[in-house]
Amino acid sequence: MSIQQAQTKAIHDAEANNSASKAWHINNRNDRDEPLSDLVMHELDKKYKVTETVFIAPFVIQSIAKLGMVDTKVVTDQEGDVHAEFMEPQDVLSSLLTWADDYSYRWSLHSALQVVESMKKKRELKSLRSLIKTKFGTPDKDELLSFINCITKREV
Amino acid sequence: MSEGISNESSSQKELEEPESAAENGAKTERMLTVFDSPSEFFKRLVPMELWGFTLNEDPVSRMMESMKGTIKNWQPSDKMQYKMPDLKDKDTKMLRLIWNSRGSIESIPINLREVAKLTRKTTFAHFKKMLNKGRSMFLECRLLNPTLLESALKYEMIRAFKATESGPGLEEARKKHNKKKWNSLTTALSAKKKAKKTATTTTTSSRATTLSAGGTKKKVSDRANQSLSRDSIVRVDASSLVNATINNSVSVASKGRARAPAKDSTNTGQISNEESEESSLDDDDMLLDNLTAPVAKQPGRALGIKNNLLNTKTNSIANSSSWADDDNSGSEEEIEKENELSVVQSPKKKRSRKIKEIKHADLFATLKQDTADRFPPIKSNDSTNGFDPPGIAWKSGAVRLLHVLVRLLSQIKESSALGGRLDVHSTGPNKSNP
Repeated sequence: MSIQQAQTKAIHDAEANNSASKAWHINNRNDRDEPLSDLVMHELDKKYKVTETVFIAPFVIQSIAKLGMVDTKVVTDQEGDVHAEFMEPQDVLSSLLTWADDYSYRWSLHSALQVVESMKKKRELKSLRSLIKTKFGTPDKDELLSFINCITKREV
Repeated sequence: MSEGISNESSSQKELEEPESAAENGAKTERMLTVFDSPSEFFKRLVPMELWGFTLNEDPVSRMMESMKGTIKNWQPSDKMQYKMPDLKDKDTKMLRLIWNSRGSIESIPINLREVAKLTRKTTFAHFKKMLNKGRSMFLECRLLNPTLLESALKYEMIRAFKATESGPGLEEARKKHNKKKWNSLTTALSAKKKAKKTATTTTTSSRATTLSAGGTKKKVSDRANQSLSRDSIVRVDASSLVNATINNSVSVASKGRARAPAKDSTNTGQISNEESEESSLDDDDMLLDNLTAPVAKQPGRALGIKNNLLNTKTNSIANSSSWADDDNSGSEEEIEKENELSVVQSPKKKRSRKIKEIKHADLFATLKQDTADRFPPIKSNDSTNGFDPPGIAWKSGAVRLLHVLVRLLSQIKESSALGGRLDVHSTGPNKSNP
């Protein structure tokens, strides 16, 4: 499945999930005979709007945490292990918003990381590394290779 | 205007309150129905959550608040002496109500109702027991993870015990986990103590060096004088020295090491002939200590001179000149070495720790540094759950990383478009903001 398809699916899933939650709230209010005013509906729409967090997949969260792009103190245990799986996409997004104001920046980051994830799944990291070696100059090449190693290395 | 705002806020409240109540109700019902799951850990965790609902606050923070003193005074050497005191009946009134009304569950799915029937076999006493066990587990976790946030305790416990199923399995895992944590705590503590010790010794030595810094030259010249005086002692006829040492008075010996270190050859003249030969060995030592007091800090040298003297004593016909020469030459060299050492090594330099091999590039290392303006966005403590903006250097590093990644992305796309091996059909998400 291509990244675009995966992302479209993620958006659809999030929309479905959100609409189900919204419907549950509306039904709940109806059951209690509470009126559904415009304001209430507006609030519900706002609450269950599909946001950018749907792009922040677990791999993206882990990568961002490994690259040190988010404060991981809250999910670091006593032995110094970072448990990125406990991080919320909303937290990651809030952290990114502090330095990547532009949406296109964040979009690029998510996309790049998702592409790396997809290549990892397809076991094409070797060809990715060779591409980096051929297409990039020395400082960028080393940097990129170390990033790729960092985010794709298997945790023991 | 103000009316409008108040209306809005009241309606917001209306929206929020029933929602949270409904959510809590639904959660409670579900928890009650799934309480009788085969997982012992889950059985202990669920009552905690329910207890939290009845309190209308975070149960963990409440527990920790009540055990504040215990937690503060706890030392790793205490091991696990503490147990959460059992809840009284008056504290669990609401919980009992919930437990008793678990038969009237309506909003749960049909398949869960069957499970709910099973839970009816459990008495409230057992339920409360489970709750107390759960609380004790939380306390243990809190004590063994002093740096962990209270909100993260639950996740830590889930991480540690989620794989367990039966009661014995959980107990075993708990023991293992506690031992592991306790070991890490004690090692950390001992390391901290060591570090503290070394820090204090370093400060004292540095203080000593600063105090003696001005007098280093003086020390060297003093030592030179001492060596000269010692030479003069050594050149004294061996037999006279033996006699002198044999007849060394107790008074001189008793003054011993406390006496001022620099002794010139006149001291030998003060030695009286009062004591017998029996105490000569000890007295010899003492005398030698007196004579070689400044040198005695170097045990090898002092020992060498002592041995020489003892040899002289046992073989009354000793070759004084050769002995004296040997000692003289040896002492000179040694003093030179000593002086060098005292100048070079006196402030013991601490070995700098080996810098760990950084596997990542410079930017990654930069990102990790929390110094000056290189700190990442840190979660602010206020209720907004926002993040404080990062440092300038960190931000520039992160943006650079982003640009490199974007370049990589475009290269991958190009490569896949040219029919390369990289078959990534990614065009990323829609560029419009979702």
